[in-house]
Amino acid sequence: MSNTIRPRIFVQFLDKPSIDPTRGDMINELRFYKALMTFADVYYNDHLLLADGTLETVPDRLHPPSRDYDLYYVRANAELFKSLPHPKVTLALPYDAEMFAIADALIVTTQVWEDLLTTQSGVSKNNPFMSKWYPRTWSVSTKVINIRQSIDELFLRDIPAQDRFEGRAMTTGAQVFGFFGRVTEETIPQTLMTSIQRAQDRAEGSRPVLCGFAGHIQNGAPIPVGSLDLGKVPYTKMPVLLSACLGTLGQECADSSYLGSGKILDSMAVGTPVVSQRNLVREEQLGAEYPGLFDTQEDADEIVWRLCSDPSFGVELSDYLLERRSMFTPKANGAFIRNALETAQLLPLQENR
Amino acid sequence: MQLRRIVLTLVRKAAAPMISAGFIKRPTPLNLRFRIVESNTLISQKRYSDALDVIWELGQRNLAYPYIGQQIHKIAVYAQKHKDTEIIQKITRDILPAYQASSLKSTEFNKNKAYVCFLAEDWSGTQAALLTLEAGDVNIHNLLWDVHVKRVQLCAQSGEFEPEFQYLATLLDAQLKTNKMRTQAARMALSSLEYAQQLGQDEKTHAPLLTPSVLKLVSPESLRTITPSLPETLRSWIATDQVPRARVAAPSEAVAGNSPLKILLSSEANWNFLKEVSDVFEDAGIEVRFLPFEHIRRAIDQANKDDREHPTMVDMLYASGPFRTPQKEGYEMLEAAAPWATDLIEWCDVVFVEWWNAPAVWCSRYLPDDKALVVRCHSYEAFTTNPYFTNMQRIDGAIFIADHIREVFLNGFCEPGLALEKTKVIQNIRLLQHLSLSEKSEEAQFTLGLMQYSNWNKDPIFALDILEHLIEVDSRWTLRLVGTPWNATLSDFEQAYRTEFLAKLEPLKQNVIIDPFTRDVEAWRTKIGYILSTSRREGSHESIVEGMATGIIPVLRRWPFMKQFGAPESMFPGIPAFDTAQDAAQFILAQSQRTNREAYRASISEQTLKTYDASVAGPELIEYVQAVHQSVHAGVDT
Repeated sequence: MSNTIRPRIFVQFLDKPSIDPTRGDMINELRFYKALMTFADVYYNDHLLLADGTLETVPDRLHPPSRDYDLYYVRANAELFKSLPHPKVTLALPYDAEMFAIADALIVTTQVWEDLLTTQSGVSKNNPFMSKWYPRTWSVSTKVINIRQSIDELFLRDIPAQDRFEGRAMTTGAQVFGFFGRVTEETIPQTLMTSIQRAQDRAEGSRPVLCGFAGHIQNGAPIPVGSLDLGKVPYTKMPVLLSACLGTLGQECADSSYLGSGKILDSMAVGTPVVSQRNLVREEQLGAEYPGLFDTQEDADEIVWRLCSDPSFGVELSDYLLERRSMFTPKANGAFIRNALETAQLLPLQENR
Repeated sequence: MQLRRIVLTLVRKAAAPMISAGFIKRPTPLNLRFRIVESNTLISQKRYSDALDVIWELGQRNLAYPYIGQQIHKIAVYAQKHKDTEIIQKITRDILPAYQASSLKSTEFNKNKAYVCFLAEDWSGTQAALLTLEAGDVNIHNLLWDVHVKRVQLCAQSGEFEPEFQYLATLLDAQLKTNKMRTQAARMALSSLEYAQQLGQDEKTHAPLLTPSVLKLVSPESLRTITPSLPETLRSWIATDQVPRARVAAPSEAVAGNSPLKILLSSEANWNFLKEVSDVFEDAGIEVRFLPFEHIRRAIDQANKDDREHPTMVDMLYASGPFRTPQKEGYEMLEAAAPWATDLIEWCDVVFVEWWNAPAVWCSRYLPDDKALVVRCHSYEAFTTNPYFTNMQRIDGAIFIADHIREVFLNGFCEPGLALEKTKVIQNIRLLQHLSLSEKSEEAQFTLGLMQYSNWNKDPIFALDILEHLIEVDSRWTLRLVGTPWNATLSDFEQAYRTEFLAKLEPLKQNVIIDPFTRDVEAWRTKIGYILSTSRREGSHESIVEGMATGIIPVLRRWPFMKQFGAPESMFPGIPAFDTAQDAAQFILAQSQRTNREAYRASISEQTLKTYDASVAGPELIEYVQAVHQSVHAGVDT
C-alpha cells in the first residue's frame, strides 16, 4: 500500500460558487478536474470535489482558500487569481495580460496551441484564431503546459439495449451524420454538408442519409433543407445519441484548428466514426493516419459515401477510435497532466512527496 | 374671410351625412390635436386623472370626436400599469353612461364607445359597437380580440364557453378569421374539454380525470356525460372533424406480397415499451423505421416562428371545425418543415403510433389516406382530452393493453366515437422468459412486496392495512416497499396523504422495510413471497406480471376506480381480487397454509408465461397489424 500523499489542488471557474455539470462551459472544466482527481484531491471553491462531479457541500458564495494548496488553477477570474499564492496557473484563454504576467504557467489543451504560444511572434493579425481571442500584439513569457482534453467517464460506460434502441428511434433509423454543439454559420462544415447531399442523391431507394443537428441552432444558420433538428439533447443522453449516428462531423472554424474538440473525443469514446477536415489539431487527437480525415471535397465525398455504403469501413474506423480512446481516458490523461506539472516543477515529484 | 367661412360651413353640412354613415372620416379639430398632445404630456407625468379630464372635456362636447376613445384607452392602460385604479372607476362612473345613453350611430362614435365599454368591462356593449365597424382597422381588430380573450378568461371560471364559440363563429361570418383566432379556438376547445372532464369538481388541472377528487367520480355513466356537456358549437365542430378516410384502391406492394411490410413506429419521446414491439416486427421480417414526434413538433413550431401564417403544433392538434388545418395543407406544411418526416411516411405501409397522445391526434388528422394508421393506448391517455381531437374515422386499428382501459376510452369519447370492431386488446409485449420461476429466500414466505409505492394512487396505506391484519396473527409478517422516495415537490394533496401514511407506518415500523430504488429488481424479488397491487387505478400493472413470472403470489386489490370497468379481473383472469384489506389478509393467510406451496408457485409462473409473454402477444400483434393493413387496401373493416 502506497504512503504517497496526494497533492491538493485548488480550482475555480469564473465567479461561480458551485458546479453545474450540465452547463456547456462547465463540461470541459469538469473533465479537466476529473483528470486531476486521478492523482490529486481537487477543491473547487475550497470545497472537496467528489468523484461524481458534485461538491461535498454546496457553497453559495466564493470562499478564499482556507488551507494551503500545492497548486492553484483559476480560469477567467483575475481578481481571485491575483490574490492567490504561488504556484498558480491559468488557462491561456481568454487573454489577460495581468493574469498571464503573474501566472507560473499557462494551460493549453493541445500541442498546436502550445506551439503557437511558444514559437510564434506575438502578432495576431494573420491568424483568425489569435485575432479572435488575443489582442493585436501579445506576449507570453511564462511556461505553457499542454493538459490535453479528457474523455468523460460517462462516454465510456456500456449503453443498455433499451437506450441503444431509443437512440435509433431518435435518429429515425436512418443513416445519420450528427453535428453536435453550437450550430452557426461559422461552425457548420460546408464541405461535409455537400458530401452528405451527394450521398443522399446516391443513396436514393436505400436507407436514407440525413444530417442531424443537436444543440442550439443560431437563427439563419445555413442548415441544409431536410436536416434533422434533434433539439437540445441532455448531456447524459449524448452517448446514446452519438452511438446511434453513422458518423459525426467535425467543425470547420478557427477555434477548431487550435483548441481541440471535446465532441471529437466523445465520438471516439463511443466508437462512432468522426469525419473531419484534416488539420494539426485533428491529427493530434485522432492521429495523422486516421482514415476519417480529408483534405479535399472529393476525399470528404468518398469517406461519407463509404460510410453509407460499406459497413466494414465504419467498423474499421470505429475499431481504430476505440483503440485510440485509451490515450484520453481520465486516468491516462491524469498521468499525462501530472507528468507535465511535475516536469514544469509546479508540483513536487511523486517520489519526493 | 367671410367667404371662406361660408364655404367651410357648406362643406361641413354636405359632409355630415357621409361622416355619420362612416363613408368619410371627420376631420380632426386642431383643438383636439392640442388636447391629445396635452394629455400625452400629463400621461408622461403620471397625472392620469388630469389627462382624462382634458380629453373628456372635449368628449362631452361631442361623443363622436375621433380618437377620444383611443386616447381614453391609452390613459387607462398607463394608469393600470402604475396601479392607478381610479381611472377605470371614473370611466365607468362618468363616461360609460354618456355613451350608453347616446343614440349616435357614426363610425367614430362606435369606435369611442367600443373602447369605453371595453374599459368598463361592458362586453356586450363593446361587442355590439365593434361589430358595426369596418374589418380592416387594426386597432379595432386588436380590441375586438382583447374583448374576446377577456371573456374567455371569465368563461374558464364559469364553464360557459358556448357564447364564446358562437362569437368566434360570428367573427368567421364577418370574414375576420386570423391566426390568433385559430390559436384561440384551439385553446378554448382544450379549456372547455378540461372543464367538462372536471365532472363538476373545482379541480383545475390539465388532466382533470386523473386528479383524485375527479377520479373518484369516474364511471361509465359519468364519462358518457362529458361529450353532451361540451359547448354545442364545439360539439358540432368536433363532429365535422370526423372525416372518413378515402377509399384506397391500389394495393401496396406489401399487400400484394411482393415486399415486406414497412412499419413506421411513432412516439412523442417515450419509447419505453416500443423496443419489444420493434423486435417482434423485425424478427418477423417486417421493416421498421421511426418517427420521433418531438422533432416534428419542433419543426412545425419553428415554421410558425418563421412565418406566423403557419399554424403551431397546438393549432394543428386542437383547432377544430372551421379552424382546423385541412388535411392536405397540414401534410404539405410538414413536408416543407421536415421533409425527412414525409419521406418516412411515404416509405411506410403502416404508421403505428405508441400512446394515444399528440402523435395519434396529428396522424388521424393529416396522414395521407393510403397509409394505415394503428394507435396503441396504454392507460393514462384514455383519461385525457386527446381522444376528443382525434379523427376517429381515420383510425384503422386501435390497440389497448387492457380491456378496462378500452372501456374507459370508449365510454369517454362516445359521439360518434371509435367503432368497437376497430379495437383490440393485446397485452403489452413483455419478455418474461428470463424471469422464470426463481428461488426465494427463507424470509419470502412471510414477506409482502409493493413496488413504486410512494404516491396516493399506489395507496401504500392499504398495504399497511393488510400488514396490520397479518401481524395480529403472526408477528413475522413483513412488508417491503421499494422505489423512489416521495417526490420532494408534492402537491398539498399528496403531502397530506404522505403524512397520513407516515402516521400509519409509525406503529408498524418493526415490520416494514423501505428499500431504496434499485435496478436489480430480480434480487429484490427473491425476498418477496406476495406481490401487492393496492392501487386505486392501473393499466396492466407490470410489476405484478413480472412478479408472477418468478412465482410470487399476486394479491390484487379490486382497483376502486377501475372496478366499474371490469378491472382487475379482466387483466388478471382467474386471480382473486379483494375490496378490503381484511379480505386480502385472509387470502394471504390461506395461501401461507398451503402444503403444496412450491407447486402452486410453479403453476403461477408457468401460467404467467403462457398468458403474458411476448411469445403470445407478439404473434397477435403482427397478425392484427397485417390484417388492418390489408383491410385498408381491401376497403373492408378489420
